[in-house]
Amino acid sequence: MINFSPTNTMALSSFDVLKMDDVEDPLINVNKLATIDLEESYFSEAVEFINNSNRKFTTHKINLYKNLSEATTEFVILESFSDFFVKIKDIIDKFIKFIKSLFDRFINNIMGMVSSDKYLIKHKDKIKGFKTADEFDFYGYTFTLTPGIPVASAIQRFTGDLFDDLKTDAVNKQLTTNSVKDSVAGIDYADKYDMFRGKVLGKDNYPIYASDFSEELFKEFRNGSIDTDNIEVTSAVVLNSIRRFEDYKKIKSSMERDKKDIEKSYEAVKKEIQNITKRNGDLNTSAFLNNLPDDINSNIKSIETNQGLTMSGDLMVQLDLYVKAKADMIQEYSNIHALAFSAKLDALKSCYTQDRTMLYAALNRVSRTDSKRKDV
Amino acid sequence: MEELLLLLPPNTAHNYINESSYNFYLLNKIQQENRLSQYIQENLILTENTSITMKTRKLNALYEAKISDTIKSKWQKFINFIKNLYGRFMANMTKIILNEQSYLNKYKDIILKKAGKSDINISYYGNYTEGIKRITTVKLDEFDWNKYQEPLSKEGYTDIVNLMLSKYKFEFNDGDDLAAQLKEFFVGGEDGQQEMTMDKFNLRQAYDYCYNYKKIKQKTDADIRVMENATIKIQSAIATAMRDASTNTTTNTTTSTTDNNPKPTENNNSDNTGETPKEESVMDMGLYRYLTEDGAPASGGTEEPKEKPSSGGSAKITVSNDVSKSSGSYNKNNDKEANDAVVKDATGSGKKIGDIDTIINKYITVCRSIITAKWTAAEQIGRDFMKIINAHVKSYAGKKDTGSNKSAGQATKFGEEEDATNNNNSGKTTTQGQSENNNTGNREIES
Repeated sequence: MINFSPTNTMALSSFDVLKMDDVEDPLINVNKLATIDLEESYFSEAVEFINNSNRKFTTHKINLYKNLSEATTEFVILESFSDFFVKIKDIIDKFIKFIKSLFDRFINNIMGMVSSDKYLIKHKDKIKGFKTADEFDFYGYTFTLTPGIPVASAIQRFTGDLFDDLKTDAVNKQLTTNSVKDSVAGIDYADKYDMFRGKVLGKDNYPIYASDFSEELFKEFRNGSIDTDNIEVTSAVVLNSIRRFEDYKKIKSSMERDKKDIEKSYEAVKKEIQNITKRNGDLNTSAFLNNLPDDINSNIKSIETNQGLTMSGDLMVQLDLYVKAKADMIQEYSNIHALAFSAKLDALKSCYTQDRTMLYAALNRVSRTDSKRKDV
Repeated sequence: MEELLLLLPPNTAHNYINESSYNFYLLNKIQQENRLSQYIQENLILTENTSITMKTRKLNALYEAKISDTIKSKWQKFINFIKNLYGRFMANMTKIILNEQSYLNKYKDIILKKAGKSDINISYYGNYTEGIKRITTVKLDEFDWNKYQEPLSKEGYTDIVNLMLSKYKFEFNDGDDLAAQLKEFFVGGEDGQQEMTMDKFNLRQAYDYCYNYKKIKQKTDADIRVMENATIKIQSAIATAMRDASTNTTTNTTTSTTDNNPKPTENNNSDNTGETPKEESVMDMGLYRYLTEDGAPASGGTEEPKEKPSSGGSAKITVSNDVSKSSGSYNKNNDKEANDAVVKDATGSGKKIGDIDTIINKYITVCRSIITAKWTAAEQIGRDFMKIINAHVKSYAGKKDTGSNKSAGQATKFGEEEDATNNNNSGKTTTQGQSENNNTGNREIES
């Protein structure tokens, strides 16, 4: 009978368990490894982040409506929208910062885990000697972590249509209040967001409802399964796990690429928002100036940005509402990306924890077999 | 004799905690949308060119419809979600345990009368004896507005958690995540890793847990019933607050300069602070603001709203929420005092409704943390017990029917997209060594 408790009593601290360089007998309390970082869920942190972000965004909108309802001049209306659009850029900045902070913490975590596991790498040749007689049952997940998911570029083609028409089509001056109103009404939020969630997971024409997204994310990175399954730990499984441990830098690069893609996409969106709001602001300013009495207007440098369009008050309002509607979309898209990115980090962390637990158990088995052989 | 290692890492149960926190985020999102839409409607009413009485009536009607509905519907949506999630939890438990009743019956003698073998090593996280005791003992108390109002109104969760759980010796650390602490509590996590050989393991306890699981189910069913019963009490509390809001209690005429202009509900969503905004009620930017900004109108005031200042400052509109008066006009002889009192009563009542929303939010958070942590722990314990029982039965029954044996799962696919590319198998990941597993049946223990 072999007592599974380690002959060398290790400290309860999980990382202490891993510093085994000077220990010959690898009877390690492998299950302690699984308790590291049990409670740090990147996903729940993302939920809290987007909760707060939503609340702030609602407050910005309420402030906007408050200012608009109290405004008595067009200038105040213009200022109100400008202030609002500045807040949208802040929201994007905060989202990018959040993604970066999640990634940095994840890398620190993984680096901590892997650098503490020099023992495993040191004994990898021994582990590679894992044979049929060493096989055992392990209840865990099959992780499916494809590079490039979540798809950052899903947010491309954010702009286009209305303002591009204004910019490029100098001939067509037929932009009317009603046509813009139709465009605003045509921004169908719910359907667009459902399809966007599917796109973010690399699935075109695959709508995912908001209420299903948490479960879909969980399954996406676990081979479509909610539940653990019995994994027969064979030499092939062990070899794969060792390979992942040796190549952790590849995983780091892959996640870094995902992170950079997301940052790049949203920086591009931010630039577009700046362009749109500038163009919108210029159009509004032009219309505002055009409404001033001639004696005042003549003393002000004219702004040739309206491209000959006649800007009515109603049209200005509709254009502002159009930009605001686009801002709503950015907010929701960034929330979806935050959830997807954090869910992948959670899955990666769980994968590493599971691999490490399995490998230490495998090493134990191999060592025991070797001991028996020596005894014989 | 070959040794068997039965490795049972923790966190093999479905994470009901994450799912319920995501659902709560969705509920909050709906509430934010309602908050916005309500604000817009209030603005529209207040800027109408109608009498103050008419505005008051419309605003009250808006409140009764919107605020009451918002709080009520949030609670109802939460109940529906929890019941739905409970259904999924029970489906999982059915798969893990309840479907194994005939297997447990068939091998009862082996499980209860044959000693566990000393060459089977078991390792799992938590003290399950303690965990089971807690799962079956800890229950949600019936909702009592009078008892819960004060602790739920306080900052943080310490007061309410202590009220509900200290009798079960749960020690709460307000700095850490409540649900995570509860999950540890319900698996007996304070005793850490448990390692033993099968001969030392309490097979009877495992058998009783799995075979008589319906007894535990009765306890978890009871939690759902408590929450459903709370629905009526919560709605009654809302109705009481609404009644207070529609009654003109002008008996309180003690006013002072500061009393005339109570500060509006603190808006913690300011970008300037960069702080995490607190939960806000639907009241925070609505009528409450209009009723408190710039205080009451000047004495001898008019029913009509004053002109808005041209610089875009705040509108000086004071609304009487007295719907019981038929004339709808202020008592011009005593305008300032009467109006001040109306404003104060209205703001007080409005705040009451806002407070209820904040309280409900907190109660929801505590309840869902308790019950989802319970389910997560119950599922983990059930899974591990059944695996241990299977291993024990297998050690005696050998190749014979050993209950629901799942076919071997695939190894982790991560990282194998490169192999797929090399094998001209683009877009699809494959599992190394999978072919080796294809013909593997039940694992044998040779003795």
